[in-house]
Amino acid sequence: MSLQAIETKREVIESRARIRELVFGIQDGLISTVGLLAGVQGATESATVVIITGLTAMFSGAISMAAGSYLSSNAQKEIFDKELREAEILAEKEPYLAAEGLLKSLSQEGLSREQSYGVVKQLLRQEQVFLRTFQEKVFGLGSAEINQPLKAAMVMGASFIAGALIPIVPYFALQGINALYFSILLSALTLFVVGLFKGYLAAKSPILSGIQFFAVAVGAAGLGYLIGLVVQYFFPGITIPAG
Amino acid sequence: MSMVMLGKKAPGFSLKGVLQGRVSDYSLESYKGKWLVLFFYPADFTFICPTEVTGFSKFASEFRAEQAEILGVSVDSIDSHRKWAEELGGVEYPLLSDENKEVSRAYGVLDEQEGVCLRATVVINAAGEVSYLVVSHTNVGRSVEETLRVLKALRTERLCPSDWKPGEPTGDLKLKY
Repeated sequence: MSLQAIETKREVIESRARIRELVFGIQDGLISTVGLLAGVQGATESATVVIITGLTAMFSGAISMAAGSYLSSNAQKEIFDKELREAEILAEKEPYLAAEGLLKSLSQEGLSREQSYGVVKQLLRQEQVFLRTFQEKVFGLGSAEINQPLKAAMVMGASFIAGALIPIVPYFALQGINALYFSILLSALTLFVVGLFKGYLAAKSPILSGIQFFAVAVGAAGLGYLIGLVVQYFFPGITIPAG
Repeated sequence: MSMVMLGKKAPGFSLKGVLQGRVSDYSLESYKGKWLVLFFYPADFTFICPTEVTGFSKFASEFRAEQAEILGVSVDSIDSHRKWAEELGGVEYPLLSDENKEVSRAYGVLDEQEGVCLRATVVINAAGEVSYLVVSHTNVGRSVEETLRVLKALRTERLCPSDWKPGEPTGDLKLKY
């Protein structure tokens, strides 16, 4: 890696942290829509009805997922911010305690006490440098982990829409049972591809990642469907939507 | 545990120590006839109360004027003591290395959980008995001047009223008759 690449790496890592919202959004959009469409398709002849139902669910789902992502990300951010502030106050009021804390943290990781002391002594020459290091090392408040709630929400919303559109698209071109099969096939393929992409990013075997991703997503959806069937068996009259 | 020691013979020890860069052996035996201030502290290379070590160093000559020697003890290695003394700009008394923690345990000043000494000061009289013992929780620094005051009071071997300061009368004058 060149020095320049090292310097820009941080932004790359931070942007790749968005993978969480991406995967979550696509997977949820995909699975919930496939199930919904399968159910609706069985109940109606009209492709238009299926499409409109799908799109409606897509929009409402995307909004609710985005809101959830925003709220959870924001909650975490606010708590983090408070911890960061408290760390700053501690370092100001009891600098020797903060210094000793960083010293302990370094020496626990393997640096000798003497070396740790030297490092902390140097860091103490510049308040901000010491503070950032203290927050990151001792409290684990790394800034790359700090959430950006709005960005998270946008990624989640967009990913959900993308994931939801995939099973809907075949219904524009095909009719009835063919559309369903193609919808399912396309969804399965998408799951596999997302797993592949994640494998590439994580430098793991893409094929295995694809299969694993597919298996978990389908397995979970299948389990949900099975539970629905079991409940319907014991309580006939209750209909569980396949989403 | 250490409280039981008061008035009894101080536990013997023989440890390696460093004074101004030179390593020697130090044992309780060699201090017979002299008063000894044994000063236990948690660790070298710390930001918490390193001023104690330098504090005692500044007053070293005054302790010597009272026929008393100071020995600093922690569980750190000789090498650590040597570098720490250097970092502090020199220490006027030996720093002993109780690496296997036996001496600290014998004096009842080892924090078993952390594996380091508590902040303890033991004053041993010329007959080798423990005359005074102060132990505090790790974050409170000790007063060197107080230790010196107590040493002087102990050396008068007379009854000293509370907050006695050198130069003040000893004994209870009200008990004259």
